[in-house]
Amino acid sequence: MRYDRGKSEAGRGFVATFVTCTLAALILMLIAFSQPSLSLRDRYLADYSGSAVVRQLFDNAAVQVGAISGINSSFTPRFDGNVTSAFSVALLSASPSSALSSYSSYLQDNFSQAASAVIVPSFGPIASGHVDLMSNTTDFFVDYNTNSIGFAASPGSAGTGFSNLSIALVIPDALNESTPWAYDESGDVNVTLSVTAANVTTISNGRMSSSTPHYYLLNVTSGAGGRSVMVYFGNSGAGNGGLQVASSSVNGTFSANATIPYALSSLWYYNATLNVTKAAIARNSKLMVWEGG
Amino acid sequence: MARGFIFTLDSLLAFGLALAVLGLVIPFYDTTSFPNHEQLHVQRYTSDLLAVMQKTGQVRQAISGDDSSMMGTLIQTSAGKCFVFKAVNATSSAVVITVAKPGCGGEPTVVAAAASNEYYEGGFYRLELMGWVQ
Repeated sequence: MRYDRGKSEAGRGFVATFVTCTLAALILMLIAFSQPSLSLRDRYLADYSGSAVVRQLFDNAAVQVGAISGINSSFTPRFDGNVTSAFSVALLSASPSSALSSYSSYLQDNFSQAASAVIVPSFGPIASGHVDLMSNTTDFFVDYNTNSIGFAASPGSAGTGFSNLSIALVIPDALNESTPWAYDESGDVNVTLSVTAANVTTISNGRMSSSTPHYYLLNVTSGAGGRSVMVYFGNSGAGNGGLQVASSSVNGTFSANATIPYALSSLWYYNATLNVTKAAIARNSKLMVWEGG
Repeated sequence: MARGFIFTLDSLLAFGLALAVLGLVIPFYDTTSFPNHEQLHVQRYTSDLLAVMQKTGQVRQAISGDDSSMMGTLIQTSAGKCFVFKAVNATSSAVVITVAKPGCGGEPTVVAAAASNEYYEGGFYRLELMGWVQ
């Protein structure tokens, strides 16, 4: 009888021990499974923070390239599905090649240490005196070697995709004479040209065909070796809708507002790349100036 | 009475066993450390603040010798957060300007730093912003 009672108590003891051990194991499992998820969350936040730092590094490098090149640009999406892209630059600028090469070296050497990152810039294309600020279809270029500014179709694109193009030239000298271009009402692009010189201000507007050549000549001094600005709109060889403003020893500023469908111009970037590795974050891409919005 | 005593003793023994297992497991647990949320917050705040001061032209203004706008921005930052901005000439390594948020003393609890660069009038400058929580 006593033996049976002892056996029954032993059975109860086993149940109590089993239940306690199960509860303890459950608590252990809860702790074990909750801790890794906390670490993952922290890891995600740390990675997110690191990627934001890398992104700022890219953004800032693009801003500095614009400052060194003397190119101002802004992009404004519109409700009608287009983007107004605005650019301005001096007609005659010293080549930024040397400064861009120095900036590239500075980023790679000194600044890499300060940012605790490995930075490898490839500024080759824009450090040769020809800076391109490009979208999928349109290439805004400044050629410091030939003192020409304008738009061309991006590689692989048939045209610049403009529906409206507004050009403004401000020249501190007096104009001697000018030869305006002819508008054709059946054209596919609405073009406005504003010229402000010391002695005259003219604004002309009309439609133009993006595939046929149009010239506007502004002479400050006439004759051989004269100082002038030549404005060309039409097919540029690379595609339709090209614009070229070439200055022969005439100072001043060029600015242009181009209206392009959003789908064709949602990304604008310099033709230069940056390869950045910072801790677990690595990014190798063009220097983006605008990424939609 | 005796049975209850045995159950309690049994439970205590099991609990002790569980604690012992826990004590053995914890040292093997992945102790990889990541910055905590406050550290990340201060880091992002510092990084964003430097970007804002650059994009609004306050950094260029400070390099040219006028730090009033930058000081105004630093004063408007959250109470308890402190910042010191420094611009260093990349060529000569000389400190061009240092701007500190006023009223910041005491021991920092969380420290963060952000670095950037600025091209201004033909020269490159390394920008440093240190932020901390008092």
